[in-house]
Amino acid sequence: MKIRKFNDEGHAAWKSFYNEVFLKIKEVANGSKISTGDIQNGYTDDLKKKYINLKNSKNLSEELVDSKDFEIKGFKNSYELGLSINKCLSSYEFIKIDKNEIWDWLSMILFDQIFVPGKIRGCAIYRYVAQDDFFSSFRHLIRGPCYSINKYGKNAKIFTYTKTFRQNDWLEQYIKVTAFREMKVLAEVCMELYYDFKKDEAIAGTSKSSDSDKPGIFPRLRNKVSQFNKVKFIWGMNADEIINMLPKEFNKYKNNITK
Amino acid sequence: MTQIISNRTGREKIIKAEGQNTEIVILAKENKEFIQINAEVKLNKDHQFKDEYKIFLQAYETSGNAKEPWNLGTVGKTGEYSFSFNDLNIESLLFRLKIVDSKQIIKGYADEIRPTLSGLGSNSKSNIGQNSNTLLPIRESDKIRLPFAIEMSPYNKPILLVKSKHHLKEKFKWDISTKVFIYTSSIRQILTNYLSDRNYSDCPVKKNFLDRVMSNAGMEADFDEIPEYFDKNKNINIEAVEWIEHITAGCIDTPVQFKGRTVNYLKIFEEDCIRFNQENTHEN
Repeated sequence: MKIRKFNDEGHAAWKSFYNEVFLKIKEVANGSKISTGDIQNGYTDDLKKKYINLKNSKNLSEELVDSKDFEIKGFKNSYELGLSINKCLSSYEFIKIDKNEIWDWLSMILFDQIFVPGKIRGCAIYRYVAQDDFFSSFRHLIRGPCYSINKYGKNAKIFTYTKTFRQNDWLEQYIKVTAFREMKVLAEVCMELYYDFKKDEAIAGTSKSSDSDKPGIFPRLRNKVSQFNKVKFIWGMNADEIINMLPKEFNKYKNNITK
Repeated sequence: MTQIISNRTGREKIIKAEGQNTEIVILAKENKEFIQINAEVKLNKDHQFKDEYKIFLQAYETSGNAKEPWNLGTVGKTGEYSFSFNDLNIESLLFRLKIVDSKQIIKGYADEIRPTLSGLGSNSKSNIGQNSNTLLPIRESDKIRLPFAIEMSPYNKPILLVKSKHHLKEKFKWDISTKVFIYTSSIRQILTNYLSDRNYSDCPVKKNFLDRVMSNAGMEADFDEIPEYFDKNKNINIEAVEWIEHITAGCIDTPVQFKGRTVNYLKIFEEDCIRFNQENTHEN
């Protein structure tokens, strides 16, 4: 099956469907913080039927002519998912396929892998319906992984090792800092310092902390890079050179023994 | 001799201001599909940069994307360069220039360089925020989630960003209710930022803004009378909050020229609200 994009009618139908899901869950939560149970109870049989009808509807989307065949399988994590989609769309420049109508069609097709009642803890609309605004667009559970894999290659693993239905906090923390987002080498620095290669996941507690001065973690790296940026041309440096400049507080992570 | 300024980092400051001694000239021209950039570097010899130092120019937006820096050759061998791209917004386009030695140490630096739009001169729309006499310039942006936001940084004029594709810029011009809502929130936020954030303590743009709003409110511009935002216990000082409310109200509840006549935005807003209520009552 080739990857498709929603037409206007399809896109409106998808947005309307997910809005209905969201409102039903909020209704079940009855003003309190949404729990996993609320999501389970809010995604009613009626909504499940609506989803099946929407998915089986004809004439709501059109094929991307140059897409390769997309095999829908159980993706182990967002990295596998994003890699698979990007490979299918590799004949397009990313800017040409960075369209909400495509991300949301994929969101619909893969809904059972990204919306898993009982496991998900949030149901914000931006996770399933791509948004126009810059920062929310990265939170889409299809677009976020596809963007980061397209931009950072294998170093996107730290942003996508999580299950397909989870939002990755590393992506959230990383992407909002312009210097980091744009400098691909810094994704490699984060992988080298903070990725547990044995467990295949980020080292716990490294993306953020209630104590932002906790030695050696990402908020500290962010501050250090900001300082270095004033005196060094980081764009011209490789990951090892940047890591070597880091002070002692990073030693624990510099000697990442999981590699 | 040109004045050469250096700072704590040891970097030489590259002169970016328009004039005979400017060291970087950037022209931007927007076509249908891309933005064309022409850049010319004329570094002053007083910097004593070595010929082999490399020159990099980076395009970025005030809040959003940044491009990978382009290599403009070396100090000994530079000149005119041209580039094009299609993923940055010309209205928020800025550049930074870096002169770098072989150990990647920055020897010269200029930031927040605004390009001149080709054919439009220095009053091009990219310069609207700095040079115009408007208290609060408006710019459309696709980078904001909510309908409007304030873009502020020290030494730059605050800009009211309105969400693009919503025609808010037009609505803002002609619809007084929208204007009153947005202006109230925006002026209050700018004043709060100016009073609470120490990064603005020496900002000349802040002084100018406060001058203007106090003058709009019919107050004497006496900066010593502006209350401190935080008290000794680092709590918010209620006097400062009241001062902000007073000044904001003074800006909105004041006579201004609108479509050729003298009006008071707040009065018109109040009349609109009353009329709307009466029309609804009649329908019912």
